[in-house]
Amino acid sequence: MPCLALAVLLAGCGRKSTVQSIDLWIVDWNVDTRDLLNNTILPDFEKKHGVKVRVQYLDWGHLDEKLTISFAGGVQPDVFQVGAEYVGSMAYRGQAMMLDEFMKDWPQHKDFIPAAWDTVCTGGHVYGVPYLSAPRVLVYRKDLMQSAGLPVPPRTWDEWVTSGLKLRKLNARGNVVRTGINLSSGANWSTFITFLWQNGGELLTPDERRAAFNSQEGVEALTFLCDLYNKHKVCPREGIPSAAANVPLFAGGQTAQEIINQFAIKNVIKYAKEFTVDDVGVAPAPYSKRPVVTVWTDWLAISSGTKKKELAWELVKHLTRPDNLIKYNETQYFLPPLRSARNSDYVRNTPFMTEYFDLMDKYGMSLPPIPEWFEIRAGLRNAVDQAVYGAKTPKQSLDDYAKQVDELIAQRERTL
Amino acid sequence: MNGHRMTGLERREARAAYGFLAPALFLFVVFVAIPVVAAVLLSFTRYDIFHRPVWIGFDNYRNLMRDEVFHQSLVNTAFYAACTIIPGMTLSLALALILNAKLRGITFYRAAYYLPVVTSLVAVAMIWMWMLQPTSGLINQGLANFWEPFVRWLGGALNTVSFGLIGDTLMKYQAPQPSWLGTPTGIISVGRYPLSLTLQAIVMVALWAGLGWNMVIFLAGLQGIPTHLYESAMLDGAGPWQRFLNITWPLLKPTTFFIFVTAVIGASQVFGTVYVMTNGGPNNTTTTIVHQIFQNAFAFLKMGYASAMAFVLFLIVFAVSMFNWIFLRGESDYGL
Amino acid sequence: MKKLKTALFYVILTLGALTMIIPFLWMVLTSLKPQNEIFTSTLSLKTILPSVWRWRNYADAMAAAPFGRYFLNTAIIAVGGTALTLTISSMAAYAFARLRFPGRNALFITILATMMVPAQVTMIPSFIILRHMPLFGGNDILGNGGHGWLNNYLGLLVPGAAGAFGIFMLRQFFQGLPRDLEDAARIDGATESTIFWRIILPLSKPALAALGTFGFTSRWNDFMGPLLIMSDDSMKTLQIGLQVFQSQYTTQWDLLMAGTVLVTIPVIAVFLMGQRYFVSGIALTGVKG
Repeated sequence: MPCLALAVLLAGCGRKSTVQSIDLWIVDWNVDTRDLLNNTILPDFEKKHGVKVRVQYLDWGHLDEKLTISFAGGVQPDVFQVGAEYVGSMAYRGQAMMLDEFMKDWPQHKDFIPAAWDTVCTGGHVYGVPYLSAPRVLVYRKDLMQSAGLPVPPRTWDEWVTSGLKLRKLNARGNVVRTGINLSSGANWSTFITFLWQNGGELLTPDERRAAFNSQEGVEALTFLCDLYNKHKVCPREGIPSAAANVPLFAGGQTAQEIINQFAIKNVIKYAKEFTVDDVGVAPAPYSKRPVVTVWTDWLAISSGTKKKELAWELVKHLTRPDNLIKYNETQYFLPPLRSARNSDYVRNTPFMTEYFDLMDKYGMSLPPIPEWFEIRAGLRNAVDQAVYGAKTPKQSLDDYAKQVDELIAQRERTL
Repeated sequence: MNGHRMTGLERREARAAYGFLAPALFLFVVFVAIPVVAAVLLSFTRYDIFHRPVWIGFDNYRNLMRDEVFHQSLVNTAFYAACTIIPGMTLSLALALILNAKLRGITFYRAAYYLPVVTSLVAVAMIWMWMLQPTSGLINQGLANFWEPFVRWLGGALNTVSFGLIGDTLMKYQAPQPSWLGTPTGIISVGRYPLSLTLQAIVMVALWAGLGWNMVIFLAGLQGIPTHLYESAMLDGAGPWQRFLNITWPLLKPTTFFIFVTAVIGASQVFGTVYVMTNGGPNNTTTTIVHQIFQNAFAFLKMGYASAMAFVLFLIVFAVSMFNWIFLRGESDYGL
Repeated sequence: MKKLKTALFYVILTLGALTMIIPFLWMVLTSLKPQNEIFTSTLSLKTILPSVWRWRNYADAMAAAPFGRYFLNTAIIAVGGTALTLTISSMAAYAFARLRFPGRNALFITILATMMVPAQVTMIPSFIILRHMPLFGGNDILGNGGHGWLNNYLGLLVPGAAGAFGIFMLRQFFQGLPRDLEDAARIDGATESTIFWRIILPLSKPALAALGTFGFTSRWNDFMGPLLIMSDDSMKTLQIGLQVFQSQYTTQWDLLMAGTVLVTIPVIAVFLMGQRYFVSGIALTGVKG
C-alpha cells in the first residue's frame, strides 16, 4: 500500500510546457463541431501565432458551476462561449472584458445583425462577439392549413386561435394526437415575453430600474397565454409528449404550428414521415400590435482577468471570421449572425435559412441585458406558470412579481 | 475530563489516539473544516464572486423567511425524506436479512439489488426519464398494454358470475397514462404547496436507486453478530421473530444509527436526480433545498444567500440526528 | 406447505430483483440496437429486442474519444483514492471507537456535523485551497503563481480521503466488535498499533469491503469533481468522456448506452469481488468459553 501511494504521488506531479497556451471553452457543440475546431480552425490559428489552444468542450448543464468556480479560483479561461442571457451579469460583474477599444480597427462588427449585436452590448459598451444565432418564428404546416381553408399563415391572435382549434386532431379514445399549436409548456415565460413585446409592452422601465411587465399590455399578453391554455384549450398545459424521444413534436406530425427556431426545419428534414419540408412555412408569430422574432445568440467573451488580451482578441477574431463562422454554424444548423452571410452557400442552400435570416434582420429582438436576469427569469417563470395554472389571476401574478423585481433591482444599488 | 490529571496509561492511550488520528485530522482541517467555516462566514455576507463580500449580518436569514420558493423546497425535501428514509431503511434491512443466507445463487440476487447503486446517477436518471415517458415509456406502455387488458379481462370474467355491474365498469377500464415528470399537481398539498405526482415519481426512483446501498451496509453489520448467540437462542426455543428482536436488532444498533444519520443527510441533500430529471419543475414542485442552493450559488451568483440556506439545512439535519441519538441510544452496551 | 412458502419467497425475491435489473437490461439492449429502433412508440416483444445485434456500437463508442487514457485516469483516481481512504479512515475510526482521549466525543460530533453541510457551498473555498497548494503545479512557497493541485491527480485523490462517511461507518463497525481479543492482547502488552493491524483490521473485512466498494463506485462515477479539477483532455475521466455522445440537441443513445455499459462493468466487477467479504463471518475461534 505505501508503494501504491508513492507511485500515485509521483504520477500526480504536473507537466510543464514551454509554448504559450490560451484557454478556450466551447459550450454548444457536437461531434462535427469538435472535429471542425480540432482539425481545421484551431490548428490554423495555432500555426499562425505559434501558440497552443487548450480547448474544453462543456455542456450547458454544468457551465455555470464550472465557470463560477474557475473564476473564483482564478483559473478562468481566456476565451469562452456563453449564451444569450449572460451579458447583463457578465458586464455588471466585470467577468467579460470590454472590447470597445478593438472595434475601431475591426469594421466587421458593423456587419452583425442588430438583434444579435444587442446580445453582447450593454451600458454603451461591447462585451463580446456574437457567434451562433437561433431566432424563433412561427413554423406551420402549409398543407394542413390550406386543406382546412384557413389563412396561410395566421397573422392576428384571433386568427391564430381559430387555426389552433381547427387543426387539432383527436384519436378514437379522445386523446389529442395532434395539437393545433404547440406551446412548449416548459418555456411559458419565453412565450409570454414574445406576446408582451408583440403587444407593445416591455420587461423593464427605460431606466431599467423597475418592472414594466405588469403594465396593461403585459396583463393582456399573459391573459392571452392563459386563454390559449384554459379557455380555448389549444394545447394541454402539460404539453403532449412526443411519440418517440429525439423526434420533436412538429417533425413527428404531432403539432401543426409552433414558435421555434431553425432546428425545427432540420428535424423535419431528418425525421418527418407524414410530410416533407415543402409542406412547411415560416412567418413571424401572429401578433396583436407588431411582429416580434425573439433571437437567442451565443457569443464569445474574453475574461477580464486574462493575461493574454491581444492573443485572446486574435482568437475571437479568428473564430468569428466570416468563413470560419459560417462553417461552424453549419455543423450545428445555427444561423450565422452576419449580414454578409446571407449570400453564403450555407444560408442560400439550406431550406428556410434565408427566411429565418430575413425575419431575424427585420423583426429580431433580444432580451434586455439585466444583471439579475437569471434570478428574474426563474421568478418570471414561476409567476407565469401560476397564472397559467390558475393559482393567481394574470394581473395579480404579474403585480406580485413586479414588486419582487423592484426590490431585487433596488438591492443592486446597495451592493456597490 | 476536567480537573482530572491523566494517569500514565491514559496518557499513553491518548498519544496513540493522536497518532491514529493525525493524517485524517490534518486532511479534515485543510479540506473540510476550513471550507465549512468559510461557508458559514459567507452566509452573513452578500457575495457574488466578483465583488468583495459585503457584511450584511442576518439579512440573508431574514430574506429566507420570506422566500416562498425556499419554503416550497423545504416542504418538498421533507416529503422526500419522509418517504425514503424509514421505508427505505426497512426494505434494506429486510433485504439484507434475506440475502444474508448462504443459499444457491444468492450472489446473483445481491448483485441485482446493488446494480442501481453501481450505475452512475446520470445513467439512472436517463433510464428513468425514458421509462417514465408518457407515451413510449415502459411504465405507461405496461399500463396500457398489459394492465388494461388484464382488468378488462377480469371484468369479462366477473360478468359471467355476477350481475354485470362491476364487470361492465371494469370492461371499459382505461389505464391512466400520466405525465409522470410533467405534472405539477397532486392529491395532497401542504398548505399552498402541492406534493405533485412528479415529486412522487422522483421519490419512487430514489427508493429504487438507494435500496442496494443500505442493503450492503446492513449486510456488513450483520456479519458482526456472533453466530453462537443465534445458536443458543434456537436451543432455548426462540422463533425467528424473537431472535430478530432480542439479538439482531439490539446488536445492529450502531449500524442502524449510522444508516439513519447518513440517510437523513442524503435525503436532505438530494439534488442530482432532480437536476437531471426535472430541474426542480414543473412549477417548483420538485425543487429541493440543495437545488435552491445550487441555483442561487451558480446561476444567480448569490453565494452568501446560498450559504445561509446551507446553514439552515445543517441546523435542521443536526437537530434531527441529535434527537435520534439522545432518544434512541437505548440499552445496548455499544453506545452510540 | 414449506415448499410452497419457499417457492413464493423466491418468486417475490426474483420479481424484486427484476425491477432492479430491467433498466440495466434496457440499457444493454439499447446499446445493441440501430439508432432508429430506439424509443419506438409501441412496446411489444418484437420491439424490445434489436432486429440486428449491432456489436459494432461498442467499437464505435470506444473510438469516439480517447477512452483508453480516460480509463487509466479513472482507475488511478478510483483505486488510489479508495486505498487512501481505507487507510486513513480506519485509523481514525479506531481512535474514536477504542481509544479514549480528551475531546473525543466533541471531535467526533464535529466531524459528523460537517457531513451535514452540502458540498455546493464549500466547493469554492475548497477549490481555492487546491489551487493554492504551495510548491505544486508551479506555485511558490506561499501558494501563488501556479495551479497547485488543479489538473493533477492529487486534486481528486487527497481531499476526499478523510471523508467523514468512512470514519463514521468504520467507527460504528469497530464498536460492534467484541472486545475479548483486544483486551487479551492488551494484557499481553501489545501496542495499539499491533492490535489495530493484526486484530481489528482482519476482523473488519466486511466493513472494509463495503467501504471499499462504495469508495470505488463513487469515485469511478464522479462527474463534477473531474470536471472542475481537470482541464487537460489527457487528464479527463470516463464519465466526462461519455459526454461526447450528448450534445444539446441530440443524444446518440446507441453509442451512449454502449459507452455507459462499458464504463459500468469495472464497478460491477469490484462489487462481485467485494461481496464475498460482506458475508464472511468473523472468525471467533478462541473466544468461546
